[in-house]
Amino acid sequence: MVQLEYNQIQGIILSGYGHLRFNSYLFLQFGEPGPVRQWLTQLCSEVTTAAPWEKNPDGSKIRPATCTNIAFTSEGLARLDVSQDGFITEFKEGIIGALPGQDPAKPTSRSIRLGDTGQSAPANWELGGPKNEPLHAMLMLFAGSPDDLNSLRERHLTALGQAGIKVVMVQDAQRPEHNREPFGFMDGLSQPTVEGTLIGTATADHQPIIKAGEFVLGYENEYNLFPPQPDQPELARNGTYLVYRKLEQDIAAFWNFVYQVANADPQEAEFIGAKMVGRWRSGAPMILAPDEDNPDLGSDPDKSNDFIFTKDDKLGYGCPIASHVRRTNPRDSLLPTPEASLTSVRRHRILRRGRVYGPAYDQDVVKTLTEVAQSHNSKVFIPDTDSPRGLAQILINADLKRQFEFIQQSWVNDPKFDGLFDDRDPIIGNNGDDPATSYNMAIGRRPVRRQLQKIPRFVNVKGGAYMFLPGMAGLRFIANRV
Amino acid sequence: MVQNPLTVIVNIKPAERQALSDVLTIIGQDIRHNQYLRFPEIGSTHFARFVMIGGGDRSNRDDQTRLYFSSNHDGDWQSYIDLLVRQAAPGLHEIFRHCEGYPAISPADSNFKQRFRDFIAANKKPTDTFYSGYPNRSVKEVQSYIKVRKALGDLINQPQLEPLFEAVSHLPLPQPKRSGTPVSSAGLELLQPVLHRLFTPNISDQPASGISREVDTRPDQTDWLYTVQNEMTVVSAIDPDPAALKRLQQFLWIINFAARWVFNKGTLGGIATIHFARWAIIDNGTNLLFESNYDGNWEQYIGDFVDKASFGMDGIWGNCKGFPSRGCKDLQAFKQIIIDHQVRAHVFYSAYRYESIRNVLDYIAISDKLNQLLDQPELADWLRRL
Repeated sequence: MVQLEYNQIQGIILSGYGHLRFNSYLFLQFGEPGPVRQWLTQLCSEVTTAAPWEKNPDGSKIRPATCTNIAFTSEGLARLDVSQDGFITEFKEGIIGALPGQDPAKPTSRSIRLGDTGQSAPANWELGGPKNEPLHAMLMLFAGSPDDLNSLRERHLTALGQAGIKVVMVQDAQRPEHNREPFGFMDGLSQPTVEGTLIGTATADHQPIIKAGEFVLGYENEYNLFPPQPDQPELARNGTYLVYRKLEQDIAAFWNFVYQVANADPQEAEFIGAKMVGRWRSGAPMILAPDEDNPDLGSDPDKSNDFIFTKDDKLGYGCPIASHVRRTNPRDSLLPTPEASLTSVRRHRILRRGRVYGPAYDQDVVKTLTEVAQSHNSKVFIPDTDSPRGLAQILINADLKRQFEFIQQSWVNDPKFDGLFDDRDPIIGNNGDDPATSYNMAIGRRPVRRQLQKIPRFVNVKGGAYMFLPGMAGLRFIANRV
Repeated sequence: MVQNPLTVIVNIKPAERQALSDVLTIIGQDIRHNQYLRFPEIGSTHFARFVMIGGGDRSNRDDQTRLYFSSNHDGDWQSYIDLLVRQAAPGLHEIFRHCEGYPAISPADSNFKQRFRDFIAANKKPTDTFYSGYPNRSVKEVQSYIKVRKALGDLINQPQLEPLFEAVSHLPLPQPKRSGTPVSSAGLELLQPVLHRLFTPNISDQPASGISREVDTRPDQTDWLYTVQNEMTVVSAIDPDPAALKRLQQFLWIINFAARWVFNKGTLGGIATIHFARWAIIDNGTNLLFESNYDGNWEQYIGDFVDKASFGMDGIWGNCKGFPSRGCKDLQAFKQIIIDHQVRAHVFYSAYRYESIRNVLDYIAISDKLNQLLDQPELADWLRRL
């Protein structure tokens, strides 16, 4: 078993800091390198590592009251004179990845690969796009209460101001107590178990433990190789690549679509929504609860992820092949064999550290939906729809192209995924961006499939960046670079 | 109808590379309506491409000295060329007149067909290994399968039928039949260690290890995007050791045999995204040409090679220069050598560009079953009475 250098690895890689429900992401633009380095040097002592938490005499863990992590864009490292030899191409080119000489009005091949098209094209972003301020770093702050977060944020804002660092955007977010994402579904249920970590005692999802090199540089990956790493020795180990995505969720569009398909029948609407996600809102997977919700199952973290597809639901009559959870983690379901599928799939996993922004999902919305849908000619009334809401998503992987970009291109947005005809991910896919082409969703059923037609786009990208999350030695190297 | 690969490789007149590139670019940019060669009018073409290739030594990556014309077509090559000439003689002339050995002819000549066919015959290369995901199905047949599926799809979307389907969906399930052991290529898998020793003596069977290098990507080579299908053309230099050529020939023979008799269910060595593929040893045994017409994107395709068909990859390219000594499981090194030897096509044609191979296989199954149903005399008699 591999020994991870916990005290060298930034904590966000291996922990979602579940006990710190409130967080703030500060997007930074550096001024003069000198003061920035001084600021970074001071910050080092505060950065949270993955070192195991101390224990109380009674054996309970002493959880940190706040956590702090930091990641850099390619431009940010360049500003601090850090050589990027050996860094992967995708990081150096950035999440937009414009090619020299390419028409700026046209989407780049990277944007097409990621599905950042239409309203989600970088030209329409709030952060990280061509029309936005250059982005150099992202400071991630976590606290246990809004008050703690406020004082933590204020302290950092003061220090940043003194160092001549401009804060381009502050993105507050939270982990709601009910753990629901804004559409109302239980979130964060399926995460890969990382080799050599303290989290996850067993792989409840019937999948092998994933080698650490898929998520941290300097360790063997699923090919028994060390992933490509920066040439600079301090940066080569214990760092990784981080994808930031601000994903805005149009809950009115989603539930309106579902209610329309269901002819305003609330029970049917729940069923259609669950088919699209692959889980009921409670988190209960469709494959284990095909006909009706089973909230006990949904709230049991061991059981709710304990399934594979081939044995019980090869044809997708329970969990549709086109559904969100099946596409983003196909487990054993891909050709040619379940074993080959598991081998292949574990080479395309990703750690998700997403948090919710905007008004949290409110259980009452469901009641409102149910009551109002029928009286509004199947149009759903959603209170407070004007407030933007969604996920401030953080994704962690060692190889952007083989992991994040692959998932987006080959699983989420490929209309031919696993033998399908014209189906993209019904939840996060870039459906409806091109008026000339519409995408559908096949819901497997005897005797013939049911088809949801002309699916609109429910999740829009509002910003993003590719970043490098250095290990502690790397961070000190960046701070002390002269 | 039997499908065949056509492999034509001909030297380009050195002074006319740009002129040829210009013509091919025009064709490639509007493959269905350009003024020179409209493949939809060449009705027996499944997939075709024009690629300006060099040799297998890719130290000069811009080496584009030869024209590779490839087609995966129905019927024999003579009838195919006749059809090409009938439909597009002036366009063919505009392409091939930039090539060496092209006869002094004009499309208006009465003997153009004969002379052009002779020219193709002189430059046609044998294909060592040919794979088709749906052997013996003609372009016309595939296109009619697509129509049948579309019509049936529209039919079952009719809202009037929904109550029927909904009711049927609640019928008790019939007792599931025990599915038999699927016919597999297990025999071949058992043979793998032996074959490995025989055909890839240069490749260590130890797992790969060490720090992988970032691939020196060339976006123009891997990043272009078609909607569903993609093309790959790779020219690699064969190891000069005569034993390597021998091994390669034998291994390709085995794969050709397997492609015909083992992998004839729409997968080639476990890869389920290939419509047509071929390998040809060219240039007097010095270079290996590979062509694939596949679904999805480059990253996924190469990943499939490594995850599912590493044995075959090593057996073939292990006999080529510069192949990683740990085999294709040395992922980054493998990606690098493919990128270094891949040449993008000027022209890539597919007769059914929106269909994945799994779609095509579904369409075939739907139509075959429908035919079977309709073929029952009682049913035909019943329908006749309507």
